[in-house]
Amino acid sequence: MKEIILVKYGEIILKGLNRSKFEDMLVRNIKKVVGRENIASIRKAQAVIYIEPAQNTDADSLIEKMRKVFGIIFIAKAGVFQKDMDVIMSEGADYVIDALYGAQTFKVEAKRSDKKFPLKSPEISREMGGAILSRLHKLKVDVQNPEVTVRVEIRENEAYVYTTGARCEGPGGMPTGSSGKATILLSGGIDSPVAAWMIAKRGVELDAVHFFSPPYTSERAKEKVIELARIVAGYTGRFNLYIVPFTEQQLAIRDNCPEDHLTLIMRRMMMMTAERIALKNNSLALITGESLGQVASQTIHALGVTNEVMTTIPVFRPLIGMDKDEIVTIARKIGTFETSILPYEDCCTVFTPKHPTTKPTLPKIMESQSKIDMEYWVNKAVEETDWVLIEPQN
Amino acid sequence: MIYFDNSATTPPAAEVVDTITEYMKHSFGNPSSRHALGLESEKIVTDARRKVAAALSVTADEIYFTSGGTQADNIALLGAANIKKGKRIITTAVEHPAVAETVNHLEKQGFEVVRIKPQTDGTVKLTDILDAITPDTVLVSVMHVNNETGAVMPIEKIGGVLKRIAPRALFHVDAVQSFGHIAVKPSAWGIDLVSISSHKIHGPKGIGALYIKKGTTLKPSVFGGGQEKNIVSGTENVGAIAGFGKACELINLPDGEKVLEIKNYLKENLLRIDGSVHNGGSANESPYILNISFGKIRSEIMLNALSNEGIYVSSGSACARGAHTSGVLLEMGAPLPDSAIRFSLSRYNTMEEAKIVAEKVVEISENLQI
Repeated sequence: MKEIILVKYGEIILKGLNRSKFEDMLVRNIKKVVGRENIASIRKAQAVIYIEPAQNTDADSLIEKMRKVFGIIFIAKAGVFQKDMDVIMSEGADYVIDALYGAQTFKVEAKRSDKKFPLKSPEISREMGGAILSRLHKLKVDVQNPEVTVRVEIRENEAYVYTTGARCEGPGGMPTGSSGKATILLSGGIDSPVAAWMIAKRGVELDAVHFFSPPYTSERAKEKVIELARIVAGYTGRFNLYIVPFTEQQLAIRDNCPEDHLTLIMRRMMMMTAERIALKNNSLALITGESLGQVASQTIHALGVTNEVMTTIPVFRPLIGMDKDEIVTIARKIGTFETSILPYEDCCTVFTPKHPTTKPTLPKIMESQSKIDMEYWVNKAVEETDWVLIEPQN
Repeated sequence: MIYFDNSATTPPAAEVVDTITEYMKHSFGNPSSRHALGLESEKIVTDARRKVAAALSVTADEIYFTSGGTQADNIALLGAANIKKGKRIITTAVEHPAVAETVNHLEKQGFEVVRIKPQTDGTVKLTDILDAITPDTVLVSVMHVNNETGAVMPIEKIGGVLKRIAPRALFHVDAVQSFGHIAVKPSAWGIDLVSISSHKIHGPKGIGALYIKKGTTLKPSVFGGGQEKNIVSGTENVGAIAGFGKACELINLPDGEKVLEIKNYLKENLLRIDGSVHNGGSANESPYILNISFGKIRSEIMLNALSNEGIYVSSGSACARGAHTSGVLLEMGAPLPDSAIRFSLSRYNTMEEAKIVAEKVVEISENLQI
C-alpha cells in the first residue's frame, strides 16, 4: 500500500508576498535532511507539503528525520487509497484501526477538494465513523474532545486517510537559512546548546565558537563540545565550530588582574574574540546562554560590563529570563542534556575566583583590565583559532 | 607513547592477540553444541580453565568464567549474601565500585553493613576486620590490592577466624589488582570466593573469572542456559576465554622485582618535587601502583599535561570517570586528594620510560602555573 507524508507549516503562512520563498526554503531543508534519494515526489498545495517516499523507503524513518526540521508544525503519515467510498471504508478503516485500539473516543473529519466526489464532507465523516465503529465496538464518537481524530481527504486523484495526535508535532519555528547567520559561544554546559537551538529555531544559521585551555581542560572536554555541536547540527544542518586556544590568555588575566575580576575580564575577552571571529565569517550576531542571575558573571551589572565590549553586532541571549528548570526541560527535549552533564571541566570552571564580584562597575573593571594588553591577546586568540566542520549526528 | 595506566587496563600481550586471532579465524563453535565444532570450542574453554586455575593454584572445576571483574564481584556477593542465614556483611571503605555498589544494594535490601576504614597508608588493620566478625555475619569481602593506592590488605588470616566465629559465612576477595602481580592463594588463606579479571594481566577485555571453592553453594543471579554450572548463564566468550588462558600462562611473579625497581625510581624522583606527597607508603605495597599528589596541581591538569606529552597516567581510578575526588584518598585522610596521580606499571614498562616520565613530571610541575 502506498503511503504519503503530510507536512504543515506554521508562521510561514503569515509571510504574505514572501511566503513562497519561505516555503521553497523549507522544502529544500526537508530534502537535505531526509536525502533526495529517499523522496519520490514532493509538492505543495494549500499550505501543506506532500511527500511521497521513494520505493523501498520507510515513511516512518523519514518522519523521524523531519521532526528536527524547523518551520514544520505538523507531520503525519497517510494511507493513499482509491477515490471510492467503499474502498475508503474498508481499506482506509483498516489502515487507521491500529491507532484507535485502546482509545475511548474518536471523531472523523473529512475534507474534499474534489467537489465532484459523490459524498459531501459531513457524509464522508458519518460513513467512515460507522465503518470504524463496526470494527471497534467499545469506541465512542466525541466530536468536542476526541482522543484520536481520523482524517479523510479527498484529493484530485486519490484519497488520504490518517490519524492525528501528539506524535504529529513538529519543532515549529522558521526554516533554517531564512534569517542570516549568528555565532554561538558554546561551552560544554547545559545552557549554550539550548540558546543555540532557540535562535536557530527562528531560521538563523549557526556558527559556533569554543574556548579551549589545554592542559587545564582536557581533550575529552573538547570532544564533548563537538558532540553537543553535532546534536544541535541535527536541527540546523552542518556548521562551523571555531576552536580558540585560550590558555595563555587565561593565565595572563589571572597573573595580572585582581582575583575578584578574573571572570569578567575573561568574559569580556571572550566576547571581543567571538565578535571578531563572527565578523570575519559574516555572522550578524552573537548568541550566549546567559540567564539573568544564574552565576556571578550573569547578574545585570555583570552583563552590562561584559556587553560593553561589543562594537558592531548585537548579542542574543534567548535564555535571559528563563529558570534553570525551564532550560533543562528544553535541553532534554532537544537531546543535549545527557551530554552536557558529563563531568569534564570546561574553561569556565578552572580559573574561577573564590569570591567573584557580583556588582561590578565598568570603571573598576576597566582599571583591572588595563593591567593586560587586551588588544594583543584578542588578536592572538583570533589568529590561533582552529576550525572544525560539524556534521549532524547520524 | 608511555603507558603508565596499567591498573585501568593493560596492553594485550602479543601471544594473547595471536591466540584470539587464531580462534576467531578457525573456530567459532558454541561449546554447548553437540557436534565436532562445538566440541572443539569446549576443549578450548576447558584448556583455558586449567590455565586460569593453575595461576591461582586451585582446581579447574573451581573456576567460573564471567564477563570480567565486576560481574564476578556481583555474582559472588549477591550469591553469598542471599544463601545463608545471617544479616551482617563486613567489607572495607575502599573497595572498588563493583563491590561497594553491590554491598550498597544489599544494604538497601536489609543487610547490616560494616565498612572498615583504612589507615593513612591505605591498608586496613587486620584486627579491625576480625573484631567486626560476629556469629550472624554472612559475608566478608575484602579487596587484596587497592586499585588506587596499591595498598595490600591483610587477607591471609581472615578466612580462618571467620569460619570459627561464623562457620556458614563466606569470605570473598576482589583480587583484580593483585592477580598476576603478587601471589594469591585462595586455598591456603581460606578464601571461598575470588574475583579476577583478564584485561589487567595483558589479556582481552570482557572476560574474567570467579573462583568458587569446591562445596560452596551460591545462589545464581544470572539466569539462562545454565552455562558455567548454572552460575554464569550465557554462551561462553570462547575467544576471550582462550586469550585469558594464554595471559594466565604468561604470568611470571618474579617480574614484580623489576617492576618494583621502576616504581622505586619513580617514587624517589617524584617525591623530590616540592609539595609532593606519597599516598600510601605501607611496607608491602604493590610494586605495580604508585599514587602521588603534586602540591596544588590538580589531578586533571597534570593528567592532561602528561597526556599532551604522550604519557598516560590516571587521576584516582579510571573506572570512576569524571572530575570528582577519589573516595579512597578521602577515607585515608590523604592531605592532597585533589592532586593525586596514579602511575600504574606492567612488566612491559622500562626504566628508560620511568626516567622520561620523572623528567616530564618535574618539568610540568615547575612550569605549570597554578
